[in-house]
Amino acid sequence: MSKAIKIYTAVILMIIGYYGYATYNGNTFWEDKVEKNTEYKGGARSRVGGYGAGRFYHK
Amino acid sequence: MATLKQIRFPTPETVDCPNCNESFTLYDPEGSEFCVCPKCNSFISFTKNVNKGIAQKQVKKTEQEPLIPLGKIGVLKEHQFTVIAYLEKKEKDTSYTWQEYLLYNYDKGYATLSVFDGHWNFIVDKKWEPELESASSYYSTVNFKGYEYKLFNKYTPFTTALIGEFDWDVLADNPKTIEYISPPFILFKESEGSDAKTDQFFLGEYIESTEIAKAFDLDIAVFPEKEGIGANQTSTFAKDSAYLNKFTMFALCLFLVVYFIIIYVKPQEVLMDRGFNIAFENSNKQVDSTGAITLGLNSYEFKPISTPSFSQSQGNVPLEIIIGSGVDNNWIEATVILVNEATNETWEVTKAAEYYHGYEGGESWREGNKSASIILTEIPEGKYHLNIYPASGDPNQNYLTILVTTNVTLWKNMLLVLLLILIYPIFTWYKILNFDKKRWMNSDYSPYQE
Repeated sequence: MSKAIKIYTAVILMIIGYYGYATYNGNTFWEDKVEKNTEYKGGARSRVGGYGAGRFYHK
Repeated sequence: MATLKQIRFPTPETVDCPNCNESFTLYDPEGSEFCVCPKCNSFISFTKNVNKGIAQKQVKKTEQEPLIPLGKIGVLKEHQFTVIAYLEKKEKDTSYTWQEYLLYNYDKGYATLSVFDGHWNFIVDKKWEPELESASSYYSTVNFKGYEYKLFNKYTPFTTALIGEFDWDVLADNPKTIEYISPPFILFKESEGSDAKTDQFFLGEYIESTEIAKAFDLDIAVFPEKEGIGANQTSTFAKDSAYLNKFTMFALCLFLVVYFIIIYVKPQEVLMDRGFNIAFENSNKQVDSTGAITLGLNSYEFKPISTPSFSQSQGNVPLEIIIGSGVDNNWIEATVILVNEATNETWEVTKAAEYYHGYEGGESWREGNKSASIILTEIPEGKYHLNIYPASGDPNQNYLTILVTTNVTLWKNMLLVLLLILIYPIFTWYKILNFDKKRWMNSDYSPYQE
């Protein structure tokens, strides 16, 4: 068995293993552009002018 | 006929050339019926007088010294051989030449090593492969031992020079030869006349020069370099192809098993599926005499929506939020904020949907979509709600649907893994195909289109 095929075997098994781990833990390899924690600070329900929210562009 | 079914090589004997009286060695003195004097190149027959041969004719001196010296003993394909002859051959009416080494085994008889442009073949007859007896060609193919051999070449060989000993009149042996290949194997069909019953098949297997050098304890540096691709040479990629095919199938099955286990353990769940009325929020809206609405600055905004709470309790999950609308020849955009009610952690995404259609030049067309999908990753367990800030180019929009689903099938993830699994097998398949195309460029019977 060539070195390339050994590497391919190992890499594919790792990829499938990682796919299983990532999928079980809800990880997406692609996600939409997300900004975290723009809406609330410290539990107070006060809008802090998060980027995008309320700032709409016009076509 | 070569001496067979012995447990060791016969004792070599020294004989004298009837032409020049030079002494030389025969390695199978009982079995050899013809030989060539290494000094005067007389072709000597022993068929009529076993003790003293008859010089029949002079043959041409070989152009090259044999790479494997006559009398050399080596173990090849798990059999012990002595090299007893070396022949230089040529294809009739062409300039193609090659060399052959006649190998003698005390149990099974003769085998041949042939070399053409640095490509070696180990060739045996029906004594080694009894199934060759029943081999037969059908149009341009031969089926042998479950493999299909394809017609590769037709020619008539003849011997230009030789040295060593033989059990047949090799100079009178010029059969029409047809080659059929199924790499790394090759079948030679030799016909003496039009009678198919006289057809004989020989089986060749591609063999690396390193294996021959090792078998006969020779320096690999003296072996000729390979030129081009041998008729039955296999690509380096093809050597692992059987394993690769099996492993790829295994990997695909394993991948599917992992996928089905995960959707069984963490099934897809709809957390919210409902519609919301959206209220246009514009104090500067004016309606003119035609009924058209004119809006002032920032007048495209709708009132924000805050959805009812929903819970997800499956650990970290991927979350899909689909925003649907009745947008028609227009667009809608929404900033969606997922809020964890326990921690106030938020995830904010802005997404637009647009849908246009029309009729132009006698054809109807459409583009875009009335809904938009948002994928969020690793959303922890908890109680959530959505804050939605919609906007649209159409102030008459009044309805929005929201579908929130956990553990959705992430097709991009799956496609990426599938691509990674298949990329090397596809690359290998491409290389093997290219190699095969180049091989068939040396044939007049290529299955590939010119």
